[in-house]
Amino acid sequence: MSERRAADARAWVVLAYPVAMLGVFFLGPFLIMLAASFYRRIPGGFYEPAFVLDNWKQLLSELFVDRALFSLRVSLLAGWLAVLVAFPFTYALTTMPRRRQVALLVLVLSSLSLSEVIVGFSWSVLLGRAAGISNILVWLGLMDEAEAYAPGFWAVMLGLLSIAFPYCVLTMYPPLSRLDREVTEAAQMLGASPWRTFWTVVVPIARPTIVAGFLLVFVFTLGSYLISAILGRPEHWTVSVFISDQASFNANVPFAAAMALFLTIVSLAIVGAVLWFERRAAAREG
Amino acid sequence: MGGNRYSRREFIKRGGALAGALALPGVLAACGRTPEQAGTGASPTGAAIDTGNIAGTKIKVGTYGGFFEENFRKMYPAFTEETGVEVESVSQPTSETWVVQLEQAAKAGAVPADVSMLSIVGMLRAIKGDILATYDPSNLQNREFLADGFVRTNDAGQVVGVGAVSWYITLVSNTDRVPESPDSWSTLWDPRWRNELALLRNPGNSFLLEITAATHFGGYDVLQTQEGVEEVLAKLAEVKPNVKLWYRDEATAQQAFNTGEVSLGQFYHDITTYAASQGEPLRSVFPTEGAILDSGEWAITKTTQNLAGCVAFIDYMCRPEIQAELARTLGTSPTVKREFMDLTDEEYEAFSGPGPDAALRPEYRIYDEWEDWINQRWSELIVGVE
Repeated sequence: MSERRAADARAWVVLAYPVAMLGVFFLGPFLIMLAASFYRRIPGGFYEPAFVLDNWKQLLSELFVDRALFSLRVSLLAGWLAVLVAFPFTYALTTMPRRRQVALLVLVLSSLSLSEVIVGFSWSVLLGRAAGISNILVWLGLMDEAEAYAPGFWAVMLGLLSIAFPYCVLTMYPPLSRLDREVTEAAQMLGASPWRTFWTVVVPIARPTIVAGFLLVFVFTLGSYLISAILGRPEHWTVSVFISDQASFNANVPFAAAMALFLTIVSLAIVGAVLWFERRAAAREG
Repeated sequence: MGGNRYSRREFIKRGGALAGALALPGVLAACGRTPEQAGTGASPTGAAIDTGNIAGTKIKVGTYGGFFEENFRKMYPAFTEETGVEVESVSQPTSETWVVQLEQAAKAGAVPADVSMLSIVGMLRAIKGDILATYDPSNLQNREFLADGFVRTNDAGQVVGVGAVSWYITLVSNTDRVPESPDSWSTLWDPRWRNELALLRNPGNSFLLEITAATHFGGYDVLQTQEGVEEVLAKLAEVKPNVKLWYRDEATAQQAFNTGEVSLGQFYHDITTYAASQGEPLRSVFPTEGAILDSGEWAITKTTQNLAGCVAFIDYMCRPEIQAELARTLGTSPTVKREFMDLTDEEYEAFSGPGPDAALRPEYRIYDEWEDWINQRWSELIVGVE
C-alpha cells in the first residue's frame, strides 16, 4: 500500500511541471480570454473592462452563424478526406520493408517543416494562372490558355489537406504498425482477398485509430485561418479569418474572444460526442 | 520575387507580429529600462520641451516594412549627425494592426517603437485609446512649412500627430493583360473584368465606400447617413464577381499585379511607379473621379522615455528638403506646402497626378463613428450573407 502511495507521489512530481505549464500557458490565457469576451467594446477605439453580453449576442448574427456552420462543414469534410487518403497510405506503409517505411516517414515528416504561410502561398502560385500547373497543360497542348484554380473552395481544401495529412499519418502510424499481422494472414488463409481483408478486418480493428486521425484533422483545420484567407474567396473564409480580422485589424478583442471561445466550445463538444459514440460502440462490441 | 521588398503598409501578419515581438526585448535593452519604469516619459503639457541634451540618446522609429522602411532608413543618419540622437528603424505592419500591437505593448509597459507612422484611421483609434504622447505645437519649428491640416491637435491644443507623407490609391493595371488602361473607377463594375480585380480587404483602408459614392452617387452626401451607406454598400456588392483578390497585405497584391494573376485594381501609386521603373509591367492611372489621397502621421507612443528626441525627429522630418527627397525617392506626396520645395512641375505631377485638389479624401468620420457597424455590413457584403 505504502509502495503504491510512493509511486503516486512520484507520478505527481513528474506531472507537476507539465500541469503547471498548462495552467500558466493554456488555462491562464483561456481565462483572460473568457474575461475579455465580456468587456465593453469602444467603436473606433479599443475596449474597456466591464461585464456586458453584447459580444456573445453578436454571435447570433447571420454572418457569424453562417461562417461557423461553414467552418464546421469544411473541417468535417477535411477530417474525412484526410482519413480517406491517410489511412490506406499509412496501412500500406506499415506493410512495406523497414527501409522504405523509414524513407517515406522521413519524407512525410519533412513536410511538417513547412509553415502554413509557405504551404498557402505555394499552393496559390501552383494553382494560379501566371505560373501555375495549368501552364504545363498548355505546354503539353492539352489546354489553350492557362487557368486559375485558386481562389476557390477546393483550393482551400487542398491546402488544408496538405497541412493535415502528415499529422494524420503520424497519428495512425504507431497503432497500425502494431497491428497483429497474424489476423490479416488468417483472413487471407481463409480465402479473403487483400481488399476484403482490408475492409472487413483492418478497418474495423483500426476504428479507434481512424477516429483519432479524424478528430485531430478536424480540430486542426478548425483553427486554421491562413489557408482559407490565402486560397479562398470571401465565401470560403472560415470563422478564424474573422477572429483574426476582429482582433488584429479592428482592435475588437472582446468580440474576437467570444468567437474564439464559441469555436473552442463547439469543437470540444464535437470531439466529446465522437469519443462518446466511439466508446459506446466499443462497449457494445464488448 | 520582390513582393516583400515592396510591402509597406501591410505585410504578412505573422511577420508583423514577429517584428513586434522581436522589437519588445530590443526596446527594453535599448533604453535600458524595465517595464515598471515605462510611462514616466509621458508628455508635459503646454511646455517647451528641452531638446538641449538629447545627444547620445536613442529612439526607435517605425515605418511600414519593405520599400517604405528601406527608404526612410536612409534619411536617419543625417538626423543623427545633426542632433546626436541615434535612430533605430523598425518595420511596422499596416497601421490598423500596429496600433493594436502598440496598445497591448503599452499595457505591458513596453514600446515596440517610440515614433510610428500611422494612417488616419489608425491615428483616430490610437487617440481614442489614449496611447499617444502629446506636446505643445511650439516645439515644432518647421510646422509653418506644413500644408493645412497636417498638425493634428487634441481639444487642449496639444499636438498628437504630424503629417509624415501622403499617398495616392489609384487604378493600377498590368500592362501585359490590359493594353489600354481605363481611366474611371466605374470600370470596376464592368463585367469584362470578371474574376480579374484586386481590391483592398478592409473598408477603412480601401475607401471603396468613398470611391463608390463619388462614382455612382455624385459625391459623399450619401455617406452622411447609415441608410445612405447601405445604398452605397449595395452598389459596391455588384463588383464582387469581378474581384479575384481581396488583399490584406500589400506584398500579395504586388505579386499578383506583377505576374498578371490579376489584371486591374486599386493599389498604391508610389510603389506602382517604383515597380514600373524597375521593369515590372505595371501602370498607375489617376481616375477622373479622383484618386484616394490618404496620409500617414507621425505619432509618439505615450510610454516613450525620450519625448524630446522624438519631437526633434518629427520636426526634422517636416523640413521641405526632406519631404522633397522622399517624394523623389519614394514617390510619396509631401505634407509640406509646394512653394517651400524645389520640386519641378514634372516631378510634382509624377507623384501626385492632377494634385491633391482633384483627389478623393477618405470620409474618416464614418469609420470613427460607425466602425463596427460598417465592418459587419462590409463582411456580410463580401461574404455574401444577405
